[in-house]
Amino acid sequence: MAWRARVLSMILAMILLAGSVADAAAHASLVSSAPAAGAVVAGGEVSIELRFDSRLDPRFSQLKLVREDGAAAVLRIEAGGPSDALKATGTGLREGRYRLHWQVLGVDGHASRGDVAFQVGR
Amino acid sequence: MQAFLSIYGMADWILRGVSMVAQTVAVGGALYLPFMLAPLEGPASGRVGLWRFCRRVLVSSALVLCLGQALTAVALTAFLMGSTGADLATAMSADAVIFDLLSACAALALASVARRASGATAALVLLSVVLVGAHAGVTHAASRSQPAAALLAAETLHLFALAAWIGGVPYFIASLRMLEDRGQRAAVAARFSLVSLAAVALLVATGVFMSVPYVGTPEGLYQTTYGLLLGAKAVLLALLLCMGAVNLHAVRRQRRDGCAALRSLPVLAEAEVGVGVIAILCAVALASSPLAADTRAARPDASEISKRFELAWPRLASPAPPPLAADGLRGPSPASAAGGDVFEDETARSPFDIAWSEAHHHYAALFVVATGLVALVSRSGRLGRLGRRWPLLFLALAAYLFIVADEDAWPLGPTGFFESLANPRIAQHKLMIALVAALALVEWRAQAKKFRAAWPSFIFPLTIAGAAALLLTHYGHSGDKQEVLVEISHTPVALLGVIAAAARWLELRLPSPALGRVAGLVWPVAFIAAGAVLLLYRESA
Ligand SMILES: [Cu+2]
Repeated sequence: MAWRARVLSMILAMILLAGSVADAAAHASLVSSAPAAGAVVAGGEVSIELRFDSRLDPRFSQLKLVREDGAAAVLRIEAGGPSDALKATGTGLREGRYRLHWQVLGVDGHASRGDVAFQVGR
Repeated sequence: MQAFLSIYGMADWILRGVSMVAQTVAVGGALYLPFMLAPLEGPASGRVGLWRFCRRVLVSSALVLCLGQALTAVALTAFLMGSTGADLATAMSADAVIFDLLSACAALALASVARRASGATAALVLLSVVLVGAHAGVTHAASRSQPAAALLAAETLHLFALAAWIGGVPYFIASLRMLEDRGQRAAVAARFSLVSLAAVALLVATGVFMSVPYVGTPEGLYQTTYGLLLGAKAVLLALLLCMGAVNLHAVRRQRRDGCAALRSLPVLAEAEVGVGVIAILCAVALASSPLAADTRAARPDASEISKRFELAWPRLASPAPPPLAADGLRGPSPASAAGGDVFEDETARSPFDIAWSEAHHHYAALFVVATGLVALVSRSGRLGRLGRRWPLLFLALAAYLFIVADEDAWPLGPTGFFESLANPRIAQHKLMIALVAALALVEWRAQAKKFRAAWPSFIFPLTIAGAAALLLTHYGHSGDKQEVLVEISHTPVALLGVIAAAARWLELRLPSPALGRVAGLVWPVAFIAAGAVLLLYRESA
């Protein structure tokens, strides 16, 4: 019954093959952002809104604002917004380059992260 | 924890792939046993063994699914706790964790129901519905900003049709091989081909229904990663349909002139399983890519795409590397800068990087074309024993790649061989090269008939299939324009690889010499075509 072993080994090969696929993929992706990537905004108070292509679980979403000298602040995400967007406010922003780091969990279980770089000018 | 967080994405991807294949086989079995096997009438010769074997496959795949989903849930929980500081209870209350655990429980229940001898049809079907439903809960249909019931229903039916068809094929192969009564074999074949036809119709209908809102515009089909993956899936489906048509023809013919035609059926079904698995992996990749309709990133336009396919002389001269800096490094290359300063553009590639990559693609293409040509010409018998030595071309390719793949490392660069292995990128390259060399050696010996067993000759088509699957689905899914342009040129190569692998498998396995001869012509031609596409590959506009 050698062919039985073949059917079983074929299923094993199917699983091994599935396992050999490399590279992580991320699903929830940024559809739009304010400030937009590369934008120059006025300093002081900056309102931030990121919109995604998937509903998010807000409990596992994070926004972090990193200044070019490395100083970082975790932003408080406003509650009660639409389920596919994150809103927050950055306060006391001085002139310079900033990077808005986001990490979200889509309801489909795909976690993803990314950055939006922008500049505070006059 | 940091180490786990960095491999989480990869682990999640692997677990999803394994679970999806296992779910297809498990649900396929839960439908096949009660609806294909149970109604069989007449002598029981072979049927008892077949029933036991199919049940074992069903139980094993359900257990693999259970394990896969449980690990997916554990990994996600750990990831959420580690990366967001959530506590265990909060992390476990995430929707996806709940769906994964639900599916793990349903899979375990399915395994235990299937283990019992009496066919509890209702329980098997009910648990299949739970499994497929839980899966649909973590798809695009469920996670859209405005989830639509129609899309969710379509997704669920799509998964069911997939399981009834592709998931049923392993059981179908076993039935053709194990049933001793010719009438029973014919009855199963007729019934399964009917179910397959209905499932295909359902797959296509639900697929088209979902792709309209997911792709958005016709341009979305070729300007985005999602669209290209979807196109690849459509081509794989067409390939499956071709094999299905041959099968159907065989089933029809055997009704007229006895059993002979049925003998090629299980072999064609084997190739069908392989192509089906690659299509499933494509679907897993699709499920984790942003929808084309939502991709707002810069897209390549038609002129940029056609430029990539413009006929031009291949770049075979190796470019001269820029001079080394004092510390032996060439400044931030995209790979070495990763994880560094995000204020710099990490994806920028120097003209040297581009020239180097193009030259490599073109050399590899020449080897692939040469292999196809030699294999094709040797079929006429004119090359004699020399023709069977084409695997040596692959060995030469491996040697060439070993020398040039990493210009900073031995033998071209200052970094020693073992020293260079500490760099994960270089270690990965060397591993791939070692695999190519091993493949060449095995296939060389197989061609020279040095093995007593048959299995070493199957390594070649299986490896090609694996490589094609990787090529189809390994993109980072950033949706970035350069990535799409690379994918546009690589997807046809990968699809030709699938065709070559399937044809080679059929050539080796088919009992009918006429069909086998056709398959033996198809794969070298697919190789030559893949090489030709690769020869046109360019990264500079
Ligand atoms: Cu490439």
